[in-house]
Amino acid sequence: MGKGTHKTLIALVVLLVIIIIWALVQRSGPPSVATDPAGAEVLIYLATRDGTSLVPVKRIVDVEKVSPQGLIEELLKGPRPGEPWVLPLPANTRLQSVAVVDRVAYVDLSEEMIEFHPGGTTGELLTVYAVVNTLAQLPEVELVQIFVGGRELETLMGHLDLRTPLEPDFSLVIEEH
Amino acid sequence: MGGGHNAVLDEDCDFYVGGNPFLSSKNLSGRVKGLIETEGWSLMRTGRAALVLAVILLFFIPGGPASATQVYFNGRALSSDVAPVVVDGHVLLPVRSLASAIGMSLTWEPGAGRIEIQRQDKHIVMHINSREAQLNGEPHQLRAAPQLKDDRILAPLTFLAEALELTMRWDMETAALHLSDATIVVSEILLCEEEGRTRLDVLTNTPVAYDTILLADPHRIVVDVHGAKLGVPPGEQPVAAGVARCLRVGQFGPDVVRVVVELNAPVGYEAFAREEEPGVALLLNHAVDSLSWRDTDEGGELFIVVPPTAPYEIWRLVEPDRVVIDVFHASLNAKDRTILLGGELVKQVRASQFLPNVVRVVLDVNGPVEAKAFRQEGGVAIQLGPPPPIDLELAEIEPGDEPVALIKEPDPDFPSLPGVKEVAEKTGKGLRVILDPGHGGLDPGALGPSGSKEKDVVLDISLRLRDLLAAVGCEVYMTRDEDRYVEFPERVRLAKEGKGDVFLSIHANAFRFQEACGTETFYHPDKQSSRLLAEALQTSLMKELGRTDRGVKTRRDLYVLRESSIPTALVEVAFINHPDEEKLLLDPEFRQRCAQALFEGLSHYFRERAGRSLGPVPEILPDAGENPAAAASEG
Ligand SMILES: [Zn+2]
Repeated sequence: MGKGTHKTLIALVVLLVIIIIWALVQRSGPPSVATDPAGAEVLIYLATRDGTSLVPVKRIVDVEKVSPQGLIEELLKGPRPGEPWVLPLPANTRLQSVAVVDRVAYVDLSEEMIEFHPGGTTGELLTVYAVVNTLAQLPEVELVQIFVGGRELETLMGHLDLRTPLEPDFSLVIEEH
Repeated sequence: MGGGHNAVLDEDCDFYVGGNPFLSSKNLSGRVKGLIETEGWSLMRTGRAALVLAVILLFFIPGGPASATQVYFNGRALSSDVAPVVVDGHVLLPVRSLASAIGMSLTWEPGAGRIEIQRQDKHIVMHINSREAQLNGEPHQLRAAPQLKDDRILAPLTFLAEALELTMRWDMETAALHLSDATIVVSEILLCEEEGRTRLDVLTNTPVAYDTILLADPHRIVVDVHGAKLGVPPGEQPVAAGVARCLRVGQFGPDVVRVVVELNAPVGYEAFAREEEPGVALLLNHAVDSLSWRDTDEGGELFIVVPPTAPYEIWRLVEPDRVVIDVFHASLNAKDRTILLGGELVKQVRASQFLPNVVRVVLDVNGPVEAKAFRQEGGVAIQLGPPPPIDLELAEIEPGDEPVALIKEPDPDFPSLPGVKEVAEKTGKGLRVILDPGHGGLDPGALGPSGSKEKDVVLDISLRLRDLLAAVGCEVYMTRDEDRYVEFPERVRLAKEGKGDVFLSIHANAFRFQEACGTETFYHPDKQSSRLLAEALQTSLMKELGRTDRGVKTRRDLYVLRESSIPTALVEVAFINHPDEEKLLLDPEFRQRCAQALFEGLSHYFRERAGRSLGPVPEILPDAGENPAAAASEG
C-alpha cells in the first residue's frame, strides 16, 4: 500500500465525514422552532364561534414562557386579529396562580371566570377544557384542577363536576383548518 | 304560529299612564327582584308570573287580542305609534314614526315600494314584500320582508337595530322594548355609605336599562347595565364599605357592562334608577349576623348582632303573648334562627326574614313581660323581666291588627302537586321518572340577551312534562318544582340510590358567542341504557323542535351523569343566549312542544327498553299555554 493510496484514503474519509455531517445537517432541516433560542412553539386551545369544538392554535413564545403560567397567559390573550377562533373564557379572566404537584396542575383563576361566564353546558365544557388541554401539553402535567378565587369548586356553572382533577379531552378538538 | 295569525299590538291600550313609566316601574321591579332573589321563597313566584305575563303581553296571542309594548330610545319613552307589530312571528317597527323619534331621514317611493333610510353614516334600502335589502350598498338578506299595512311602513326590527347599530332589549317585566345607541357609557362606579347602608352608584351618560342578580358562593350582587360600553378600566378593587368587600367591573358580552359587588353576607338590596344624574343605584341591607341569649338576675337578655345604624322597633302581641323586634333594611344572615329556652319567662326565640327588607325576631313568652330594647356596641340588646305591678305600657291591640297572621314564615316543605288536569289511559303506571330542572334559586343558570333566565324556562318545561307524564300514570319525582337552589348531592340522591327508572336533567344552553344554537343531549358512556335514552330524547327533540342538531354526546365529567346509577340523560333544549332561541324559549307554546318532545322520547325509550310505550301525548288543557307556569307561580 503506497503513500498515495493512504492519502487518497484519508481524503475519502474526510470527504465521507463531510458528507455525513452535511447529511445530518440536512436531515435536521432548518433549526426547529421548538429549539430556536428566539422562541418555542406551543398550542393554545381556542373555540369555534359556534361553540362546537376546541381548536389547537400555534403560538411562538419565549422559551422561558413554556411553563404552566406562560401557557395560561398566552391562552388568555385569546385570538389574534383576523383569526376565526374565539376565547371560550370570559375575556377579563386573570390568572391568579398555578402550581404543578405530582403531575397535577392546580390553576387558580380570578372571580371573573364565573361572574362573566354566560353558563350553559357547552360554554362550561369549552371553558374548562381550553384550560385543561392547554396545560396538559406540558410533559409534567397529566391532570388539571381548576380553582376560582382561591376556592375549590364543586362545579363552575352547574354542569361539570370539578371536585377532582380532569384529564385533557381531545374529543372536543378539531384540527386547525 | 299559523300563517293567518297576525296579532297587532294595540297601540291605544293605556298600559302606562303619562310621565316616564320606565323610571318608576323599573325602580320597583329592580327592587322587588333583588329582594326576591335574597329570599328564594314565595315572592320569587311573583317574578315568574310577571315574566310569563309579560311574554304573553309582548308576544302574539293567536288571532287576536292585543296589548301595548312601550318603546324606549336611549331610555326615553317614545309615542305609542312606534309600538312594534308582530306579523307571522316577526317583529316589525313602523319606520315613519320611528324616523322622527330617533332622528333618521326616510324617503318613501310608494310606486316602487322603495324605502330609503339614512342615519349618520348608515344607508339602508328596502322594498315592500322583498327580503332583499341593501346596507351601505352591500346586499343583505332579510329574515322578514318589510310590509305596508294600514298605510304604515313596517320594517323588521332586528335588521333595523343591527343596521343602525342600535342595541335592543326586551324587558319582560314592564312589557317594553328598549332601543339605544351603542354609545351608552358607564363613566363612573362609586361605593359609599348612606345612613349606614352601603350604596353603589353606577353612573352613565344617559338613562339605562339594567338587571340585578344576587349570587351565592361567594355572596355577591351582579348589576348588568344593558346596551352599555365600559368607560372606566375593567378590573377589581378591594373595598371596605359595610357589607361590601370587593368591587369588580368588566364588559360582559358586546352590549352589557357588568358590575359585581362581593359581599361579606348575603344581604338584600334595593335597586333603582338614579334621579339627578343618569345611572343605577343600589342600597344594600344591613346584615343581622347572629342572635344570642343569656340569663340575668332580672330574667334574660337577647342580643342581636346588627350594625348600629339599622333602625328597629319593639312591640308586643297577645294571645299568645309575644315580644316582637323588627329590624328594618335588614337581611337575616344568622345561622341559628331559633333558640329554644323553655324558661320560666321565655319559651323560645325565633328569627325570620319577615319581609324582604325586615328581619323579625319573636320571643314566645309565658304571659306578660317587661321588655326594653336599647343599642349597645355591635348590636341591639333586649332585656326581659317580670312585668311591673301595674302594666301601664302594655299596648292595646286593636281588633284590626290580626297579630297572628303577621307572623309569616317561609314554608320549607314542597307544596303539594297541583292535580292532574285530565285522566288519560294509565300507560305509564309503575314507571318512575325523576325530572331535574337545572339550576334554581341563587343560581340563575344561563341568561338570555333580554334578561331571561335558564332556571325559569327549564322549570316551566319540566313542570309541563311532569303534567304530561302524570296524566298517563307515571310516578314523577322533581328535584325541584319551584324556584329554589338545590345542591348537587340532593339532586342526585334518589338516582344515586338506584331509585327511579329514568333521570332526566333539563337545561338551556349558552356560549360566549351568539353563533351557537341548537339542541344536544349528553349521557355517560359506561351506561348503555343511558345511550338509548339520550338517543330517543334527541331524536324526538329534533323531530318536534327542528333546531340545529348538535348531536348526542358522551361525557364522563358531568355531575349528574357521573353520580346517577339509573339511566340518565341531560338535555340542552336550545341556546338561551341566542336571540332567536331565547325568543322561542320565552314562548309558552314552544316550551309545551319541548315537553311533548321529551314525553315522546321517554315513551320511545320505555318501548325499546321495557316494551311499554306511553302512548300518544295526552291532551291536557286547551290553555296549557299559561297554566303550568301559573301553577308554578302560585305553587
Ligand atoms: Zn344549565
